[in-house]
Amino acid sequence: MAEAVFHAPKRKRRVYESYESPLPIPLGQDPGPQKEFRVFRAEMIDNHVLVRSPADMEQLYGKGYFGKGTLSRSRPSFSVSDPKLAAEWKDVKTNMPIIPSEKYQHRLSWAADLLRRQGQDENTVCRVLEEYTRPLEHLGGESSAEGRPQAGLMAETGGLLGIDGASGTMKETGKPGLGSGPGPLAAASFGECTGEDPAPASRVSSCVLDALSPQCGLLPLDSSLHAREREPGPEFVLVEEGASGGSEREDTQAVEEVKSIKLVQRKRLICRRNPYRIFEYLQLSLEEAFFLVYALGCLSVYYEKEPLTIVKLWQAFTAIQPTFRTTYGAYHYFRSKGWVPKTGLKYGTDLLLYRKGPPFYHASYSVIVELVDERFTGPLRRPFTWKSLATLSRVSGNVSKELMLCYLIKPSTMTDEDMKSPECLRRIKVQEVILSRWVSSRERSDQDEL
Amino acid sequence: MVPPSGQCRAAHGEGGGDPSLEEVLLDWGGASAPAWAGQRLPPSKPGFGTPGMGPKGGPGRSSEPLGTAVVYKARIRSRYRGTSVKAGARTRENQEGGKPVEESRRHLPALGPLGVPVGGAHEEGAGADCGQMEPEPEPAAVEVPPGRVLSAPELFAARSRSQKLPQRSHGPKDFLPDGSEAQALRLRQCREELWQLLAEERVERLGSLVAAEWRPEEDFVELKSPAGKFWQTMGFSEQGHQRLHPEEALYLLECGSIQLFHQDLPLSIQEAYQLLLTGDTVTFLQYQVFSHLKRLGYVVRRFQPRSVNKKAKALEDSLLPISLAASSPPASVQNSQCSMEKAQESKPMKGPGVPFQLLGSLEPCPGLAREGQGCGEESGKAENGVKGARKPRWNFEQISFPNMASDSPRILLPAPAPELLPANVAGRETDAESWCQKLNQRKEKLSQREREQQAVAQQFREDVNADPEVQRCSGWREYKELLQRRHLQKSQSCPSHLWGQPVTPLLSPGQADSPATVLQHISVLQTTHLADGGARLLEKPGGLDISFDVYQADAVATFRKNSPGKPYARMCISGFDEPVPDLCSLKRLTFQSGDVPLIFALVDHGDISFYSFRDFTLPKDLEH
Repeated sequence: MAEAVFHAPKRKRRVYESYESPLPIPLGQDPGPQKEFRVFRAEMIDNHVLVRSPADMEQLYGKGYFGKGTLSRSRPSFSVSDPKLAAEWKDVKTNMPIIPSEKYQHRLSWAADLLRRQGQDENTVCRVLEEYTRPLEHLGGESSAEGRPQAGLMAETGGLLGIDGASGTMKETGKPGLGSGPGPLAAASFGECTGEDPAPASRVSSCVLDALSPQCGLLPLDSSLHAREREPGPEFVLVEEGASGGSEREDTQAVEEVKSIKLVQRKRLICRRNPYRIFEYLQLSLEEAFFLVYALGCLSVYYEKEPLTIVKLWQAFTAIQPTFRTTYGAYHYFRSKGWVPKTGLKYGTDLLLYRKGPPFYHASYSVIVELVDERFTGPLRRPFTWKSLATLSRVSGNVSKELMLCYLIKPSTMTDEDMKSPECLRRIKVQEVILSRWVSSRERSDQDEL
Repeated sequence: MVPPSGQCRAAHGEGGGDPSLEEVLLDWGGASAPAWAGQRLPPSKPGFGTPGMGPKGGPGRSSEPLGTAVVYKARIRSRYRGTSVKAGARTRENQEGGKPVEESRRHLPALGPLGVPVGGAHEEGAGADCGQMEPEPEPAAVEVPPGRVLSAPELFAARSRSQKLPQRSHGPKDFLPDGSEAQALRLRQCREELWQLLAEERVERLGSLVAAEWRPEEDFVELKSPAGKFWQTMGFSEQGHQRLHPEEALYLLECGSIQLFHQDLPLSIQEAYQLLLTGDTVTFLQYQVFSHLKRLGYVVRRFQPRSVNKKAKALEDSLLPISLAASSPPASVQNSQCSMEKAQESKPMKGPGVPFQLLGSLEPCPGLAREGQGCGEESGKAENGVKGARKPRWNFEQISFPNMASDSPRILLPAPAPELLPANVAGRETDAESWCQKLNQRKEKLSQREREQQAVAQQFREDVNADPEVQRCSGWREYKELLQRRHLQKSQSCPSHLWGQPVTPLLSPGQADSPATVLQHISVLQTTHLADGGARLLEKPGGLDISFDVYQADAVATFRKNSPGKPYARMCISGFDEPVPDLCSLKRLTFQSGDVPLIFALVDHGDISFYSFRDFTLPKDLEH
């Protein structure tokens, strides 16, 4: 038997998510009502393909594992709850992200810095933030047991702390309200300005909102891509804060402090407006983007508000990445076999092939892609020596992946003109080869293999 | 020269069943083999390997002269390989025959003059042994010049030497040099032990050393005396002579199994390396791989390109009947009752009516379930001998299928028409009533919930046939076209920059009803195989070639040179610095290798690593 044997992919021992669907398109077999076929939207920014709508991101990553979050390792998870907190508060039914208090303090300090850079004086900065980050009652977002008393408490505290907060001093840092707060940094102290006025958010003056909203949403690196009309509304977050068990009346303060040490474990979720939003997007590799457009027809890639056609994309991507045709051919081939290819950068190869998706299985194959002509020769993207091949084989073996060489063979009749359209893929043949080490002392006899 | 006698000798050696002798053997194998290198050399495996290999016992003894020439390998191996047995055999013969003892004892200069090649052997032997050996006590310090015939007392002394491997005196390894006197001493001691061990003489029967002559002009070695045990897996006969390929001769020379002459002068190992490996046939690299594999016990033969094609053809031939046999049952599917029982009793057929009549040809059509060319070919060869019509067509209006459902109380299956059956299969009439009762033919009973679900689903479903447009369709083709039109209409909502273009997405909205169909729609690249189109590449040779056919070590016992069977693998040999074969060579070589795995052996200064490139097709993953 000269063919390589197929080894079943290894399941990951712990799987934290459930499998939704192989592809981000409505499939007849999916349970529930027949969903509308939806065309997602992505934008070309600096030769990268970004998806910005949170709903689209979720669909594209969750169904087929396309792309990666720009601020995350794989699944875009920056703007969702901290996984640890989410597990802790899993009874709380909310769609707001739960973040730890430290994180919130950071946001506050960044927002304050931003305002200061705009020339606002300290008092204004303080006041604006106070108003903006006042705890809000989130509707139905909290378990009823804890929700009510807490809101009341916070309003009460606000009145107290507000005085100090306005002055911007560091008096409050030792107070129980900030059990888990950061050190006595001036900026951090704004975290305690929990709003002296219990009035609703609408009372925040318009000038304040103007001052905050344009900047708060900005990702500093690519501020230009924010179309004004797509600006999302203020984001609400649930901040997990340490809260003391009792009230904070002055006369019992000393007692309360002792108490609060005992009750450090007791945490609350408080709904606040996020003063400094950072957006995470889904970045698609060129192959992924083109596959979604060309194979599934479920993505429109916009360049400066103009959607691009398939042929245009093919040419543009080839210009961005000269070997795009080769790598896309392989990507498409493996996708059309129902596998999930992701980049093999970390293993020194072009692609990694997952069954179902990275959360469920370990990658089975580490793939190197080459384009050759009819005579099976051609300028290789990656000419090998035995030494480099041995290295790669060893690396792949050590991470339990098989090394696959994937040759795309184009017919001799295919001209460069033909290759200017993705339709040329139909004439390309694919040869998969598995490279493996053969250990002479191990193969002496069949019995020995036990 | 006189093959019969050679075989006779081999047979004698193998069959030699002196029980006491066997004991000695086992003792050897058990005690020494593992101590040596920790290699997996199953000592109990009979008939294992060639002279160069393994702790086998009896088989080797009569034929393995163990010349002595090779300082490292031959000596070291001899210790765990059955030298002692030979001694035993000899002794026995002596006792039996009372013939004058004819033994030679040769001392060879240690590896000094032997250059590189022995160095390679040195690595292997010495690396593992260093520091493990105790200087063997030589009971009889009889110094005999090499090659001399021993006297009776000398022989006795040699025979009565301790036959146990010395224990290691200082663990196997010392790590970092610490510069201490103690360590230096230890090292020196180890080294001395090693040298002593290596210097140990082997006492062999002169008669079992096979003489052979190197014929440079023909590139082979011709045996001048009958071959030994190695003949089972090595060498070839031509014009009534026993001959060896240069690599085989060199290997046997290194093992001490043959003595090689050239122009009537014996060759040293070094000379043999120089002379035998410069020919056009075997390179030094190839020899290194050859001897590496031989030492591990593999049977290594030169690659036989012709055997590939023959085998491939034979395979094809053998496949035909098999597939035919596999496909013939469908012909009797309708009367499986009959065919099932036909094996036990072969009643004469007495079918009154023959409802199973084919309208067209009487072809058996084994490939009822399958379609395609294979079917035509096979049916052409069917035993009925019905040939000609290639188009298997069943006229189902003429074929009545028996009603086995619950509504027909009595089912009599008439005997099938004999022409529908293969020649050796008899069919007969059957009453299937009793059988039917064993089937579950009850109506499906739905639970309350299932019924509700169905009712809900019914609300949303429309009867396809109620649609007037569908009613107008006269066939599947028209219906599918209609569906296509509707899809197009629907896709008006699809953005025009995707669908209003010459190149549109492969999948249209609504086409996707299951992952499998989606994958089917987007599968545009074709798969090929390494062996495809390989014949075309054979015409322009050059570059790498397959050198050896390799058989597994445990097949040695049954190995026959004239019908070696399918190799376990085939070897291509290349230097580590040489280029990696491109797809073109890969395809050519794979085609040549046929259904045998192709392995590339890379030699880097004596170190060998192996890699295989195997054809592969990633399976489609439809289980989503």
